[in-house]
Amino acid sequence: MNACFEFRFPNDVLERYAMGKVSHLEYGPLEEHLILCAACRKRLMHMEEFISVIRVALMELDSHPEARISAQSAFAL
Amino acid sequence: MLATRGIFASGAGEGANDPQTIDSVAQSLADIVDCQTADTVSNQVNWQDLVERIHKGDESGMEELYRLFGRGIRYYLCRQLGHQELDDKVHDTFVIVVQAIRRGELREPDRLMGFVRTVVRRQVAAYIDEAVHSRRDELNLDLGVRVADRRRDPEQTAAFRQKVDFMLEVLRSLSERDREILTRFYLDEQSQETICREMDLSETQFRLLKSRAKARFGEVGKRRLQKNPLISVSLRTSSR
Repeated sequence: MNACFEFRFPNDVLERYAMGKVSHLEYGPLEEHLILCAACRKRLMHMEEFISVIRVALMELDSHPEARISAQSAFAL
Repeated sequence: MLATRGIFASGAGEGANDPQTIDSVAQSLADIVDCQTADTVSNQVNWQDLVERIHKGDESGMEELYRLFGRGIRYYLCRQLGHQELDDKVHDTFVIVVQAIRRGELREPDRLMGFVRTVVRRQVAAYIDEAVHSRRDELNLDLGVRVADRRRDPEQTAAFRQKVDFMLEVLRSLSERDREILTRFYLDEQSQETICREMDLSETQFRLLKSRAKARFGEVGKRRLQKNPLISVSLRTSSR
C-alpha cells in the first residue's frame, strides 16, 4: 500500500487521457492501471461525462451569446 | 495530491459538515483505497505462476486471468467500440490472449498486463478498421464516422439534456473571462500552458477554476435533484 493517500494517477492525467492528450510515456502505465482499477475507471467515466456535458453547454452558449447575460445574476462563484 | 486537493478545495468551509459532503468525501477516500488496492494486487500476483498455469491449460489460470482483467477489458472495449456485440469482443480478446500464451509468445510473464493491453488495443484497431471498410463498402459513408455506437435512448437523452442545463446555469454564473478559459481548454483544446501564458494565469489559478466549475456543477445537480426526485430516478437509471 502506498504511504500517501492519493490516486496513482491524478485527475489532471485522467482528464488529459479522456481528451486524448496524454503523452506516450503516460499512456501505457495508465491503461494498464485502468484495466485493473475499477475506482479509476469510475473516475474516468465521470470525467468523460463532465467533458461531453461542458462541451455541449459551451457550444450552446457560443451559438447564443445573449444567453450569457440573461442569467448572469443567478449566483456568483 | 491533486485528487485529494480537489475534494477538499471545492468544499472547504461552507457545508463541510453537510451529510452529503461527508458522504462524498468518504466515497472519494474509499475510491482511493480501491485504487491503491488495485496496484497492490498487481504487485502481489505471481505472474510467472499464472502464465504457467494458462500455458498448461489449467482452468484456474484462465479463471484468474478473467477475474483480474475481465472488467477492465470490457470497459476498454466498450469505451472505444460501444456496447454492440460486446460479450463476443471480450471473449475474442481472451481467446487471443490465452492462445498466445499457450503458443509461448509471452516470453516475460511479468509483462502480462502490458501484453493484455497490447492485444486489446490491436483488437480495437482491427474492429475499427473492419467497421470503416464495411461501412465504406456498403454505405459509402465518410471515413470520419464514429465507430462506437454511442446513441442514447430517450431517457438517457433527457438525463443528458438536464445535465447540460445544470452546466449552462454554472457557466452563466461565471465571468466572461472564466468562460473563455474553459472554452479554450474544453472546446478549442488549447493546452494549459498556452492558456496560462496568453491569459496571464498561474497553473494553480487554472486548476482552481476547473475544479470550482466541476464542484459547482455537482452542487447544482444535487440541488435540482433534491427539488425533483423524479429526475434523480431518471439520472440513476440512465447511468447504469
